[in-house]
Amino acid sequence: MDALTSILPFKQYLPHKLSYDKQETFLKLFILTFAGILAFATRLFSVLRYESVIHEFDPYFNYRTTKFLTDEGFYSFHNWFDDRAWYPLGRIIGGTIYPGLMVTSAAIYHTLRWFHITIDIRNVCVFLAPLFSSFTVIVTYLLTKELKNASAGLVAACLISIVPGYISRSVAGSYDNEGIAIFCMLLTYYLWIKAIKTGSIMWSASCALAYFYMVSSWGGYVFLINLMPLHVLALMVTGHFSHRVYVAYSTVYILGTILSMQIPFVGFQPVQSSEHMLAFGTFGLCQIYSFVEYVKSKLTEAQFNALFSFALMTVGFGLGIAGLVLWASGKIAPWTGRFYALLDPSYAKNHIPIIASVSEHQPTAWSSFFFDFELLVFMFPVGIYYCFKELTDANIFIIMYGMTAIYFAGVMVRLMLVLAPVMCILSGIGISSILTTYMRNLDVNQLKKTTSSTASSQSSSRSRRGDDSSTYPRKNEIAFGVVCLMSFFLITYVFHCTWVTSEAYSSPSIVLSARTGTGSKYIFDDFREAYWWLRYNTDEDAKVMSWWDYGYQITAMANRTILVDNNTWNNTHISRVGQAMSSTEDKAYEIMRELDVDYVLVIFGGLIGYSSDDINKFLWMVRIGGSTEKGAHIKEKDYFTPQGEFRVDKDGSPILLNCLMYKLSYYRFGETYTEQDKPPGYDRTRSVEIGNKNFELEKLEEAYTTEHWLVRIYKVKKEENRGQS
Amino acid sequence: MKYFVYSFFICACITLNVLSEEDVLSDKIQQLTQWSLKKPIIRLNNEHFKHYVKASSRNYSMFIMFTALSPQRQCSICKQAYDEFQIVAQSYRYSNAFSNSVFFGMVDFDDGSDAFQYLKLNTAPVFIYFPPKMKPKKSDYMDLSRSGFSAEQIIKWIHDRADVEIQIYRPPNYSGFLLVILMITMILGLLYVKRDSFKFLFNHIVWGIFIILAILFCISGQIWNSIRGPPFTHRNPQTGQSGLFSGTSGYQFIAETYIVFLLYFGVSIGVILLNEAPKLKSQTGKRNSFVAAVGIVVVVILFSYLLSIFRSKYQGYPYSFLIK
Repeated sequence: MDALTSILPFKQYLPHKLSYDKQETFLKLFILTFAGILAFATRLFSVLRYESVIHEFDPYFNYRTTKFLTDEGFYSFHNWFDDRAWYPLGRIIGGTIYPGLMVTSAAIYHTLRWFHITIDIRNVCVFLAPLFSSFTVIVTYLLTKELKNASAGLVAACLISIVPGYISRSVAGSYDNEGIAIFCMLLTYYLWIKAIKTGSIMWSASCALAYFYMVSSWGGYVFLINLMPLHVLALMVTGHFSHRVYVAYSTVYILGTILSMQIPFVGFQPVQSSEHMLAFGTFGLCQIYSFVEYVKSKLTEAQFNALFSFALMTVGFGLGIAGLVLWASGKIAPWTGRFYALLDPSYAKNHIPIIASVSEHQPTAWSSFFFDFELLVFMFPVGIYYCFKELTDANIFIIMYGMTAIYFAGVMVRLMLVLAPVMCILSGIGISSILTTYMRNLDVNQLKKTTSSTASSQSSSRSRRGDDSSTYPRKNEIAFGVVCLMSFFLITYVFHCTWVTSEAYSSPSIVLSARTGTGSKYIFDDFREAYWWLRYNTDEDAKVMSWWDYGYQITAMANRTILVDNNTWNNTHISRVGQAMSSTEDKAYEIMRELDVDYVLVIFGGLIGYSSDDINKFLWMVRIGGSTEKGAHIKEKDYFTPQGEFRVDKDGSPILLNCLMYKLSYYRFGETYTEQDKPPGYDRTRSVEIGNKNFELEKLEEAYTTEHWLVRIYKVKKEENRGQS
Repeated sequence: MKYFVYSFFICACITLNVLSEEDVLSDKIQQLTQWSLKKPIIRLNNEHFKHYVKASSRNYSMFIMFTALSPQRQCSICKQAYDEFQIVAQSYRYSNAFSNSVFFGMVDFDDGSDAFQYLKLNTAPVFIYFPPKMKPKKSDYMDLSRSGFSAEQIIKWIHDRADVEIQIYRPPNYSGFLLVILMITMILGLLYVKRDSFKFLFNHIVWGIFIILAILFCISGQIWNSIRGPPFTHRNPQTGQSGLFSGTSGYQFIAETYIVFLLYFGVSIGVILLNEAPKLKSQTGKRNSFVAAVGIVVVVILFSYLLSIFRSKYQGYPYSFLIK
């Protein structure tokens, strides 16, 4: 804290009558508030550009459940059986989600209502993630203050307020678990460090409560429950283990485990699954370790040694025998795939196809690290270096956190989110230590000769600088250069982060935008147009068939029953939809009658050149459709040309040109002119003229097509009355 | 009589001919068996290919892999495919099904370009089945793009074509195990040598440097490399120019990540130097200013270079510093 006041050359602008402590508190409050507001404001790009709208797919489901919770109350939410999704199976919502997010929003909503501040629940949802980012800023300050000092804490807080790696998951409208989970995670860490430092049961119990909040909000809690035992183990190995650690860990583990089992979705996993075994084993080890220490304190050294070697031999022998028996009987297999997957990152790619196929599970290239963290990538090692210079219990924790997080972020790109806070904390430590060192060396007197200044602050700053007695040539110039350099770096950081946020992380994906020739913005709002059409023009119980990507959005916005959605729990059901999409119209009609479908919704980007439409996703439908027994006749290679290409023009495979998805996408497209100098039916996404142009639909009829043809909805005709044909 | 003599002569000629052909055939089989006893995959060059495979007078069948194994061909999957093929051939060699009617061969492009030309092959690897007495048909080519080249798939294909059942036997991979053993012995050896003072184990700085290197390893995208296996550098097939950096943000080459590793390392060291400079103990203090100046220069230059690399990879990135 001394450092803080001494590094402030502009102290004279502060209110004069305050004492130093008060000045310090005032400054800290000012900086923290400012960083918190900044964190909130920088996440509002999409709201300002479009409107207060929820993004992507999963957030729509969260929004819908939150709405249900606020309308119907907690108990009916807990017992909610959703018949609007997965028709005709339905889905039990209460037991298959992490409820923390919804409960938080509902609590905020009701609190505001109680104060007679009426706010729409949708707005609570949209602004929840930015709000919690502001809280994260404060928790980061507290945590870094525990690790190093207050000035490092302030730098870290400012860094985390705009770090793109965290913004990517917490912009306004991205109403997802991660938005609040990072706050919960850092809060748990802060309380854990407090507990370790004080050894008090109160802090440990608060840590367990924070952990409970974390478990209730995100599946990533597994990272925490492994990191804390790792920390304890590292403390044991380095000889830092003490009674404080014993009390803290035992309390946190017992309370945390019991509390976490109260979440229905987690259930008995904390005592059964292998992810939690490290925590359990460490708990046992703590007890043994403390017991041994206790026995040691009561016996002489010779007695203890004899007892210890005897106990070690019996226990070791017993464990060895038991292990051999279990191994021989096949109960335990020490070298399983899971073990290799942890050590060898390429294992997952080669042996688990689902991991290889999902884009969020891809490894991270170096440019993504730089994109998300900019100068933090090289300040991070500097921070680690400082932690090693004075190794404390708390520093060991942050080192473990940094090491594990960076490995996981390297393996899987979505875990950048977990890495972002530790990057900011350690970089904050690094940057603040440089600034502290050189600000002291900066000879304020020389500068002040030119500017008139007050005498009181001058004398105080000189007395503060008195301790650093060593001098060297050009001390002041070098200090000036370094301070300028760091300021420059921090300014580039601000520009970089703002640019990345604005360009890459602020598009809601439900509203598309493009630049017109004159440079103005053109907005495609077709998705919402289609969903609202469904809401107001179809029967209340109508069943809509679409590919699973759009399931959450349809249930949330159109309030209609759907067959499959983004919670892809039932593969055969999805496969059935895939079969319908990839069959001919007659075959598909049978499937659609069987599934009782009223409307079919397809996404088509050929008119405006939107590339992630259903035709481009079509091969997945074929693959998934052909993956079950009923769809065994659907073979991927039938949809390719003999040369193995996927084409929709004249050379395309006839099976593709006559399947339901093709027909629904290109119905009456053959008469449409899309681009100058091109024949009618020119697909702008795939840049070809379509192959099958003039066809009529027999079993379906076009119900609605949006302005830019992005969404097309078809009504499935009822079976004809008997005797009429 | 005259006709009789003629016909006899002709008959004799034919018999002789047949005899000699049979001789040649049994010679061939003997030779091939000998080879395959020595090495399960027979390596064929141009002449061997003509003599043993192309010649239509065969009563044995052959499975031949056409490949390009030499390193300058830069065919990384050829090596993997060869390993799988070798496992199959090895399993066949030591199984009960081993006979002198089926052989496994391999033609490398650099020894047998004529064979490639003869079969009009312009890709590698290709697996072709040569049935007895016939040229391979279209169905005798293994469809690698669909089935892949794992040993299990090769065996399935062999079973389809030649009705030979092979039980696959993969030799266990000891290399990883040996590596671990080696590491452990090295660590133990180090501990044994240094058994008098374990102080170095408790040296924070040693651990710190080790961990910083590990972090830079992760952050410079080495994990991506080990999962995706990109080439070391990029070579443009038309111009023959090689480039160190990939032009897109989603891809990277190994050389590129090494450069980035060094840059990060340099900047980090520069910052640490800056930090340490005022604390150094020296008489005149010249060292302090020198170290600090070096730190500033290193950080500024390397950072601007880093920014320019990133800019070249990420189209539309607006910021740069000193170096464009």
